[in-house]
Amino acid sequence: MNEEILVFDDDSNITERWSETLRELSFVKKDFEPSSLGLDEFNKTMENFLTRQSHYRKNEEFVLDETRVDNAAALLIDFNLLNIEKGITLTGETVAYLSRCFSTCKVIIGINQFIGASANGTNTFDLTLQRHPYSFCDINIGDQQIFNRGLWDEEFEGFRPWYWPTIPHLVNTFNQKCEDVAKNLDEPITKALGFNEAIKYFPDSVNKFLGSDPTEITFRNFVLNSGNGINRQDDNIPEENIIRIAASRISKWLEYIILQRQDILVDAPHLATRLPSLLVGDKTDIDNWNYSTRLEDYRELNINTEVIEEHRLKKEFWLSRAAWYWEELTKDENILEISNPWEREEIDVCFCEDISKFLTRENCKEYSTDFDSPYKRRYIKKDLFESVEYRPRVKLISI
Amino acid sequence: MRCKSLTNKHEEEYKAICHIIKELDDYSTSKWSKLLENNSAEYEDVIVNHKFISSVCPPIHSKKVNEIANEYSGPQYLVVTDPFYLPPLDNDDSNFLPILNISCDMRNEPVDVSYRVGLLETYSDGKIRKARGFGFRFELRHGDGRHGYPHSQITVSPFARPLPECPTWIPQHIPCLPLPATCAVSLFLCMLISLYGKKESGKIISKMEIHERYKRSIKFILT
Repeated sequence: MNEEILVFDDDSNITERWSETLRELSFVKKDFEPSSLGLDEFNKTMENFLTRQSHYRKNEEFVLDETRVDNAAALLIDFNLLNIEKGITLTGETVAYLSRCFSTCKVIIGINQFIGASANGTNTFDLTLQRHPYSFCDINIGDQQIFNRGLWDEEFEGFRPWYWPTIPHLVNTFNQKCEDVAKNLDEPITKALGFNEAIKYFPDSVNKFLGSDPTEITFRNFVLNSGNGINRQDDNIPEENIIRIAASRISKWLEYIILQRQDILVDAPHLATRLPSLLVGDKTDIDNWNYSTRLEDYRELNINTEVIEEHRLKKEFWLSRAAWYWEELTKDENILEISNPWEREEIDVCFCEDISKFLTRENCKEYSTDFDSPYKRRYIKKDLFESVEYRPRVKLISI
Repeated sequence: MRCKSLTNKHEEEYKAICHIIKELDDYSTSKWSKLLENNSAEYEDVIVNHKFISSVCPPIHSKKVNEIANEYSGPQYLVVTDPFYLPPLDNDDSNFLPILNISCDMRNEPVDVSYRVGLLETYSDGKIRKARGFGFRFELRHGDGRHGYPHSQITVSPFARPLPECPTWIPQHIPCLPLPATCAVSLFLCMLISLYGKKESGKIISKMEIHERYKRSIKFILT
């Protein structure tokens, strides 16, 4: 039986429309059972979570009354919630916090929290690539993007931001992440994940999310003391809640703050661009490049992974794609570009962040992201999608 | 007494060098970041060069610079061998990427200071992109011999690895150009002036809060 995905908007017509549309999509219904969460049930669920919160704060014993959200693979929640029960002030972000901290829901998907002003404002591409790591949602999208195949499946065409993990991956790896956290709850996070001492040199923009010395902060202390885990008044929660919060928040740190920079960990398409000798096969064949964009087993990426195996992030379930430690790669003389750094084959392809594919250079537009990294320049498709709002547009201005 | 006063003299100088290196790193990081944001065709070559070189010689992390150039860490000895990217050049040779290595040993007399700069650019040779470079070293006097004065010389190996396509037949001991430097700090400033010119290096230096005594020997250049 497929796992349930619960959908909620304060407008029940919208809730029904979204869940019905999801139910009709083959790439969703093969893995999941989308269902609507009605207004009454939503209100009762939130009351339940608030009650749990209150009991934990007062250190009171109580019997947990299970909800559908507790058993859901994912909760899709709209940000603007004006029409819920009188007297309760909630936004989608608050719901995400309550669901993450006081339920066993695996994945929380925020809808329409960060949208643009135009007609395409709920189908945005974030040119900064920084996304919203501080949000308690595991992924933030616009309502026009809910039905984008690239969010659910590898077989997609057209607009599909590279920074999106797939929802099935987030759901399927959540338990593994929790198990890893449980085994290493009082170990330094960076050590448990396999980072070497070089982490202490990473910029503040990377490490500030952890709240303390990145070489020392543990999963437990991150959740309880960093300011990006639980609120201080809620710190009397059971260990299993701490584990789930850590799994979700650290996963987000890795995915959005660490990986997107591509200078601490680097994924296959960016690796192939910088070190093209690692790409297997004919470099003039764009299909060979596009094999590296798959979100599958790292051995299927058309990259010579044997040469660089020792530099791979072994706990691959923490990220939505295979990744390697960049600093270690730059010291590996087994890689042609490192042993012979002063010449290389020119490549005529660029990786486009908005379509998750390579195109020939003439079809790409280069621009600068907001990372404080030497690799801040990226590419998008030259002919922008008319149905997408690229933000902030100022990044595309040529002076 | 004599040793103690000498040690104190170098202690202040060492602190000044550490401070300058950290300030320069901040300045350079900021300049490169701004340049990399620029979409204008004017900077295309510089950006292409930066992409090529940073993919094999990524710049040293700022925090590592802070750790190495720590004036309170003990012995007055610092070595930077990871690529320290100097600020982008702002002249006709702006396509070159300047990378600095530092060796500064002030534990003994005479002090042993060497700043080595490699200037790298890339070019297209058919379907291959290649790098080529040229190097200079800036050093204080070596005893009372032939190079017994602060000087600058050409070098083909400013770093551990020889520079690509740098002609090895060129003389590396002459010319040994005299510099108006009297200490490690003024030597560093001479290096900056030689790369950035009077105006731009003046701007960089003025941001660094360097004591006037270190600028005395080069004042005639800056004014």
